[in-house]
Amino acid sequence: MGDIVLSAGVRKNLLSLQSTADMMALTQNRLATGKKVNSALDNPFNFFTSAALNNRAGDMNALLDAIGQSQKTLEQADIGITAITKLVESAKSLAKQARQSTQPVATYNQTITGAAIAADVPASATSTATAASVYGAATAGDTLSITVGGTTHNFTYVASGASAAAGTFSDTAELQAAITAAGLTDITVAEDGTGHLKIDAASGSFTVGGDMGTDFGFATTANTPSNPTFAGLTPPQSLSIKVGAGATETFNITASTTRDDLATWLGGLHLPTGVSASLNASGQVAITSTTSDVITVTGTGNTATTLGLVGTNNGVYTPAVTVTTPSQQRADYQSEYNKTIAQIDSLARDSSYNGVNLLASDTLKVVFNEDGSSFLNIEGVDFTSAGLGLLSLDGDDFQNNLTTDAVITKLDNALRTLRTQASTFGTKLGTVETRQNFTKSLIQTLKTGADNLVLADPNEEGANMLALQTRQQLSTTALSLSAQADQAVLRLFG
Amino acid sequence: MALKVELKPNERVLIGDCVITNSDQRTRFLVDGNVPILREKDIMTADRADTPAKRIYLTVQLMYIGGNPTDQHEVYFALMKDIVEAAPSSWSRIAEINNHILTGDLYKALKSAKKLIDYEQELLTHASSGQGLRSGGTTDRKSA
Repeated sequence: MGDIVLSAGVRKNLLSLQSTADMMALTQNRLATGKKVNSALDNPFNFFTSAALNNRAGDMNALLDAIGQSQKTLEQADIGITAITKLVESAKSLAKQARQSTQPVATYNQTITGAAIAADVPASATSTATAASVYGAATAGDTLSITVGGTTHNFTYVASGASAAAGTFSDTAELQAAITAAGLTDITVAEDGTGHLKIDAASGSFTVGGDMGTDFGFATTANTPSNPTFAGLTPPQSLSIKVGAGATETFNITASTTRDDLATWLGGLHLPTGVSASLNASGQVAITSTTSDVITVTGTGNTATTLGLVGTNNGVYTPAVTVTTPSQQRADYQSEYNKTIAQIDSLARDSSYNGVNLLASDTLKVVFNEDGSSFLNIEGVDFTSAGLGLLSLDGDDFQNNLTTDAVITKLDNALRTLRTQASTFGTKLGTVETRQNFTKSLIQTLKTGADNLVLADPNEEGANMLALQTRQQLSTTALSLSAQADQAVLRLFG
Repeated sequence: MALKVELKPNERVLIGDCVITNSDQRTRFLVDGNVPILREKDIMTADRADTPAKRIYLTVQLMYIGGNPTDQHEVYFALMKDIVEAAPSSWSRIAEINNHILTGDLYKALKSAKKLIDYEQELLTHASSGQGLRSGGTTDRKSA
């Protein structure tokens, strides 16, 4: 068979037919799949972008599922908290009912012992000039005065060898005799190893004066005793004690406060019968009580800590209670209470979802993007009865109002913890929900993007953008956007 | 770590809920804490947001300074859908913005939105300069 020679015109028509057939096949394929780009050969750029978008939408969907699971875990924890809160509330009402029933007779006992306070350092003064030089330069009639408790005693210098009348002296030994004779039995004077005159007071303060006081080089201010423990408190500080419903009594500590002052103050406290306070032989504050009074010891700065009076409950001391004939009714309430507390543990254990229990200290990690760079760690809590500080009661806790009140305080604390945690989880849930909604909208847009992806011609895209620009000008979206901008701080830039 | 801000004379800066205007000399100061901070040159107003990408920038900016990004999500997705439909090739830039929003890093999202504005400018330039060529092309295809 010979070659068929096609004319140029026929060839053109044939080519056109062939391409029409191709286009029809393409169109049919597009109609069948609903997508305009179906293989990498149609339009490589669009195909791969479209595939990437679809994959991303798929990734996002998987992520969304995981976020949904996390939400369930959080919701489960919230349900757990609500149920535990109800249990704690009913435990509290049991405690309150017990407290309202008749209180059996009880004896109370408590002893508070502080830390040892260092011994006082008595007041003392040493001259700057030696005794020999002062006596050598002194003339008869010069005086040395010592003021104790507001009364000034003058001692007059007389020449050596002159017979010493009352209140006169010519050397240190005679001065001591004169001081003792004047009734200042607490004061001792002596020359130290280097010949300087040293004046000591067994208790209280004293001031040295007179012209010989100046010659000796004594300070004109009062010499006071001090206490190393109190000095360590960086005065001024104070210590306060309150017994039961009584008034708070406060002891002020200054630079010259001594342990003796504290002992005096403790002795003068207005205490109810059965309560006593003193400074014991070891220099510790000791308070004993056989009443039901709660004793509160507070101090400014580090006073209560330094004096060892913080105790186990921030300075609040509750007496030990002994009940001789327990009340059956109260015992029943207590056993009911213990049963309720036991239920908290099983509830806390059952609050897990998908293997994560936020009420048993598990941590939930919520991942928000494909590469895991954005995530939220939600720390779990221990909401078992022990974690909430609610232990089963095996003593006489419900037999006395004082101990029942302590249980109620613990229940109140547990309730506060539960409520705070519920709100924390709520906030986290809000964050997770926001991200979830964003991801959902994003998936939708990704799908739209992938399906419409037919353009890769910058000219056409540019023209589309120009058209969009004009269209948006009048759209409600643009209007709502400017309204939002106007409300914000942005209007200041108008 | 504190952010160091330096202002030119009379320059303004947005910090949290207020606008600070510099007096007539250069100023340097440090800002501690977690508040939105935007320089005057980075601020987009509603009047100036007259293109699709600039509107997206404005929306992200409102999320950044507004404190509650959910308020803007609806508008954001509407705008984003528009732009992806009109110019699918802008997708990679938009994906970048999305990722930053999702990560909660709105300042970075704003930086990415700026890139989108640049890209949009490129497209619009093509549209105005390539108009003749494009219509010519269409004619050619018709004849074939």
